[in-house]
Amino acid sequence: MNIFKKIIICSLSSALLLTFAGCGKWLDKEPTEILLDDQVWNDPKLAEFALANLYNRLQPFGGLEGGKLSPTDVDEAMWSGGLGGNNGRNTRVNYPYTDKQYWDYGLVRDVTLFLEKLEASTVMDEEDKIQLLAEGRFIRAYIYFFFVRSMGGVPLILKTYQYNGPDDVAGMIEPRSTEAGIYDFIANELDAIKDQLPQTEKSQTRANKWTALALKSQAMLYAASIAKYNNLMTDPIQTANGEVGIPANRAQGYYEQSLAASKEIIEQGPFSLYNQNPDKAQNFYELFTKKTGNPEVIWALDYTLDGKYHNFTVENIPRSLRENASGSAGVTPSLNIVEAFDYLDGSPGTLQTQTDDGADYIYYDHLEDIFAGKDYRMAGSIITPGSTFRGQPIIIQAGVMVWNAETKKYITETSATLDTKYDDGDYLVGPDGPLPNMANVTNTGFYSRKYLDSREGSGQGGQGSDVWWIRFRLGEILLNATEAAYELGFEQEALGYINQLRERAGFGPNSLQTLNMDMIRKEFQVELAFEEHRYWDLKRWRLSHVVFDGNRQSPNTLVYALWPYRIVRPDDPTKNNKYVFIKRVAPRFTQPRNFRLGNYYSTIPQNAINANPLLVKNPYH
Amino acid sequence: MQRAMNKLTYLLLVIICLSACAVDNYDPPSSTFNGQLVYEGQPIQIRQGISVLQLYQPGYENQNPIAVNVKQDGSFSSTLFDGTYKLVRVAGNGPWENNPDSITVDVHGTTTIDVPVVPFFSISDVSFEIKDDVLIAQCKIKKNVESRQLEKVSLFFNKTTLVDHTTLFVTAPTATKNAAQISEGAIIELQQDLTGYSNNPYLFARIGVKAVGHPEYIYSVVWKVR
Repeated sequence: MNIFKKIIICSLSSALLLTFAGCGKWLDKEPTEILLDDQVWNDPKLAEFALANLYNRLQPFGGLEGGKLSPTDVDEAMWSGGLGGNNGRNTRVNYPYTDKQYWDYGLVRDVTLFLEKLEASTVMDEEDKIQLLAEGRFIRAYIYFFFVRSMGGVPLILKTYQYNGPDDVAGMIEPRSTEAGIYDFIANELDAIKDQLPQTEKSQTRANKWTALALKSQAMLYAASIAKYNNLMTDPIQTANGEVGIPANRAQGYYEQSLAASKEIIEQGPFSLYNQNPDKAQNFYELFTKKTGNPEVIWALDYTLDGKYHNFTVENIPRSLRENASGSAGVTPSLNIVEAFDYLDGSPGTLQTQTDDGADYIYYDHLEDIFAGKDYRMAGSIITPGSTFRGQPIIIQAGVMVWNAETKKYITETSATLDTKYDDGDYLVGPDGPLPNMANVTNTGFYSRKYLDSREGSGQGGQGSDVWWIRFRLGEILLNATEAAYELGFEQEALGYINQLRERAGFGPNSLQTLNMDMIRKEFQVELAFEEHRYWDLKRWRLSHVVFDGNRQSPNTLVYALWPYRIVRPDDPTKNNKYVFIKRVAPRFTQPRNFRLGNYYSTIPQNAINANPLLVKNPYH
Repeated sequence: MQRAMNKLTYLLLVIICLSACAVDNYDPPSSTFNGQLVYEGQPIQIRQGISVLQLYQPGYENQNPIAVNVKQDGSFSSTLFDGTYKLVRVAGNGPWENNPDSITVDVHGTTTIDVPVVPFFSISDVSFEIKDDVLIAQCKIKKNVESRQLEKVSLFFNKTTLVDHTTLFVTAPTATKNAAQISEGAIIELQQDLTGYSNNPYLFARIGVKAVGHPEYIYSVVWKVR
């Protein structure tokens, strides 16, 4: 019945439309619901709206929204949330070749349109125009950085095309640029616009001179390390025409460019390391959550509770604190990353769970005692058993171990329910887990703290959190400077940078006297944990296939967990009610990570290759 | 009533859509394309799941490759439409020398081909033996590609018939000899005490040879320990 009605309505309305078709004037009316080109590009305010749209689309992988699972791509974390699709991250046999694929030429076109329209605008103030154009070019350079780190060299498209039929296609297809060519384009663009952008950091969310330098510092470091480490491989990953792979002799120049950009920020920039709270762990946490007067942040993706908020806290908050009916405990840090944080006395960060001869457990008075003396950044980045969040202690306890005097062995007792008490009235399983198979309870014995909002209400689905996502911060620039300086042979200079960071983390002044690449890489790992750096860092050092070699017995292919147990042994007061810890593979994490050589560069989408025969495939695909 | 009518209408629509166009209806592919990776006539054993072969069918607008899954014994089998295909050995993924030449394959009915590759090393004279709960595995290796250096020879175990360096169970033993302990052409012996593994009712073993710088091993046949 309905269908007939619809048909009638359709035909009637087409008839109605046809009657109007003759009246040219009626159709020439200015629309009231969309803005026209001249209106937008002649008004700086409206042009800024177009720019805001572009800024908002610059977060393809990491971040607090769609990309918030990025730590589960590496040995930093695993997924402990719902048992649906995301659980596949714990069980995947290989990284797919499409992983981190980036081919957003729609965005490139929008940026190019922005630049072309703005360039053509005659009414806009010259000053506004120069700044907006420079910002647009900065965004374009940043997009090409996404391209090159995922795909290698891509077609460099700097103008828009109009399609007027199939004959035009031949003139539109572009081959891939070389990988070095894209990095050079980024460097040249940033050099060209650096002085056209605002010279002070009026805003920490829009491009200025310092964001341009920060991008240059990072991009040049990536280019340099690919030039160096790719060519140290037995089979360097490259294509015949350099779409993938950078010649080794370019490394030095790129390191120099990176170091120069970093130094300009460090020496002339208005930034300083965040150091406002004498409690060093809390200080490191506040670095990410305090938005006003934060001197370390160079560029961030901001959120506001007036409509633009994210659900990072909803998804990752510890189970006992959750404010939403679903969610919580999504991305849970691994024991691997916890142990990567060294002790403040400089010794390696391995947690001590057994006596030296392995005969007995080590008994700790409190849950948190096992972490005593660790780098404060660990407590600032991760919620560990017995630590507090929002003023509430987070009790993570997997069960009890009851002493059997006859067999002289412990019997482990546990429960499938959270927040249960044992016969002695004390906890059996803590309110925050861990449990082996339950969704939304930590599987590793840890919860995320970095970027987790401590404001009450931020864990509610309808409200969310307005903590921002930091894209560039001074700490990262200091690390970039450390690496570049070290690679160029300036070890003393490199030590100066890295020791500043370590001092803020709680180590003494000049805590390192000598340096090697492993130490620098460790510092990148712990300082920038959960900030979507490790995946790309391992890749540019060409270490991904070594660290994630698919072998279950390698140290970091599996996600490890730390499960605390309470001892029930009333006849021995030195042990009764103390805590012991067991290291194990996280039960929901079943497949060792296997990064294949073909994962260093993602697949070019097949529809792009079909449409453009000039595109060569990436190696191994 | 209206609901029933609606359902009927949809049903009719579906039937019309399905039945109208005889042109679009064609039989599913039925020709089988079988093959085997070989070197000097001997089958090559690999880790199951690596992407080493792709088929292209030239003459069409789109160039989407068809991945050919190769089993751990080096054999493969695909069901295809009749036609002429190009078989490509994907560069770099297998532990053998790159060969950019494609192989033209005419598929008509059941087609069987050998795909020659030159592995960095080849394994021969493989033998397994259990003495006093110690597995003794022996083999000889031969270098086929001059530029490649030997890294190690390992004896891998698993609880299933799929045995390679990634499927190991957590406590699986691995006996390894590094290049320095190995002389080419001589018999290489690897030993593994299995006393601690009596609670594994099934156990399979396989020898793997790794070249420096390439992540994949070249394997021997799988041997059933028990």
